[in-house]
Amino acid sequence: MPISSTPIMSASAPERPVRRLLWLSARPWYGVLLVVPAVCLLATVFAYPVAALIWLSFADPSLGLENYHRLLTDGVSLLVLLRTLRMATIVTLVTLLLAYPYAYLMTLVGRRARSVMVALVLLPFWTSLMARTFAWIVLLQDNGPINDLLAMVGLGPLELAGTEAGVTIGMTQVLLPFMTLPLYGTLRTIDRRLLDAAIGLGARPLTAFRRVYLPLSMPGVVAGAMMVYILALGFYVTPAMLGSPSESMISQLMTVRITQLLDFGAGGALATVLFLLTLLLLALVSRFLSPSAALGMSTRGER
Amino acid sequence: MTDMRGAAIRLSSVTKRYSEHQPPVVNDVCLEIAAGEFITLLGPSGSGKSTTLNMIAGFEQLTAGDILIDGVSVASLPPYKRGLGMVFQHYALFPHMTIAQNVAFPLQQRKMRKRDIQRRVDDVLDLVGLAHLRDRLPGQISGGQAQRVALARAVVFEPHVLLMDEPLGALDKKLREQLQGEIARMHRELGITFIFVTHDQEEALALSDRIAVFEGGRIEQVGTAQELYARPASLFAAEFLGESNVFHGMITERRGRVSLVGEGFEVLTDDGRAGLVGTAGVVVVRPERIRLTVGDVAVEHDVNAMTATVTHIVYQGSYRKVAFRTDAGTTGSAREPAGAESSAMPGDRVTLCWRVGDGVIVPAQSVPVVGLPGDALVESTS
Repeated sequence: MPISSTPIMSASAPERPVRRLLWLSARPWYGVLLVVPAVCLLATVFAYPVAALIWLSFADPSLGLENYHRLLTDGVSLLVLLRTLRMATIVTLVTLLLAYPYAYLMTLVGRRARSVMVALVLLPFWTSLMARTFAWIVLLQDNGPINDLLAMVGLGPLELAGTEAGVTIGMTQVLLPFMTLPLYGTLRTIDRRLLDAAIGLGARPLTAFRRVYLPLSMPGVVAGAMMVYILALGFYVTPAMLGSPSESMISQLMTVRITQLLDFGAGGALATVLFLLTLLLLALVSRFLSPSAALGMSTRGER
Repeated sequence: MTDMRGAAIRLSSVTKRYSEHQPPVVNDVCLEIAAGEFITLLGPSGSGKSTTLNMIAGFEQLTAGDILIDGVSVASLPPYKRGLGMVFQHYALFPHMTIAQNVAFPLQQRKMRKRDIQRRVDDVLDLVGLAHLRDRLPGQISGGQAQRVALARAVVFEPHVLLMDEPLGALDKKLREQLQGEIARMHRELGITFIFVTHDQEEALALSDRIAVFEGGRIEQVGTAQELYARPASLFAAEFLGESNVFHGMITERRGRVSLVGEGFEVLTDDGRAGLVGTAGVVVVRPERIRLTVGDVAVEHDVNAMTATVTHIVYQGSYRKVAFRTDAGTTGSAREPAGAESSAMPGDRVTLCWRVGDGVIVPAQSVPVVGLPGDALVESTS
């Protein structure tokens, strides 16, 4: 290798990215090109079907609000919608109760223990959702291991498979990472010396936690809760396999309407209502979150 | 806020050890702090000063020893029951609370009535001159303002003791000097005991009634700034506070006088510490005590004289620093005030003179000391 090639390379290499950056910043609208592939993909596989479904909810079988009228009066849709909201709420609360102490512990332990804890959270992502749900069917059935265990302590057997309770357990397990990770992301930015400061100023440890740590963790709580709640609203596989048709959730009802009854209008109306509910929730939360998010930034700014 | 008074604090053989296999972080520290005193724990990082403060505050448990506040042991009390004010290095203001809410926090913990809380918060924010920022969040004020809020929050509940852990460490020099003035003013106005931790000797000299110099988990010396500067008890204390010329040798007694005999020189002192005779020792002479004369001079009575060569000169405006190497090989410097300079230039042969009373004998190795308030000098326990 000729020695002279090295200085030439090192002289030109750092210049190129700089020049490219300048090229981009001189014509900022060129940056728009970067998002074109993603926009094209989303427009064809997401925006178009959603728009089509919404359109069908007003136009199939005839133009008007007929599908929405049916949704409110058929006695089933509204019930399923309320059940879905209730289940999503319960699952969100349970995941929060399980994830908060876990994420809190993650901020306390050493680096190696933390990697193990992160791996445990991510483990479900590396296993197929179907496999996990089948596992729950086995675990939860009337003479499954959980009921055997409950019977040993004199509490069983409980009807778990095919019930709301079973669905809640399964959904909680599947959705737990979506609560744990955003929560940990927020908790680790909280300066623990603030707790010392509160205790030094006369607060008992529990008060210090409630007055200082908990408020500072709210952005993570809201972010995690929102994610879990929205995912839970549209959950399909777990309720379909662990629940029963008589206790179905909104996504199951949608599937039945569209794939079995071929009633695209009614299915579209349900989808539209779910969509609007989610948007409404996002709007509410973003109003509530923005001041807290600003606070989260000021915590980091102090460091 | 005139009814506030300070508490006396006694550290009795306070020791902190994190592991059996490591030397203690704080080793047998004894210190008596008088009520209303401003004492500074001064030392380099890792010297145990912050750990000592955290043990007083209650954030660290003692491995051995005891801490008494007004004669009552607090060693087993949690921090929230000790009732001490504390200012943290990085302010530790609660970012989700306004300035007023931050300052109100310790009062709320003491179950005070809302109206009283509001009045006290207003009073103390006036004291630090930040009443106009009461509804801001900590993220919206400057570092100097944040430090004043931290001070206000630490004294609002009228504690008898205020602990400060390097409170000015994160600020720039000018702001630091300004806040030093405010801390000194608060100490005068509140009359409570201040315990201040810093590694900055100028800060310590400017603020403190007394300074405890920490090194290696022990207190090297306790005393007023003048005492520490004029009569350092150890080589570390001498070198940590101000500049020193250091002469190594054996301490001997000759003609009723303690002197130090080095290789090719002898230094007389009037230091009365006969207990060190026969051991390896050090004589410390401050640069401004040394007078330089070009060439040889007639040596007066009670004056040490030593010949040396000037190596270089540094101008500092109000004085100049003349660095030299003695014929016996010791390097050092003399400080000559502007207007009273000698004619010495680099390369000149000079005679160094200082009165025997200006040299202080310290042991070559440090010994632990016990500091008592009002002590002119520290007593050696070893």
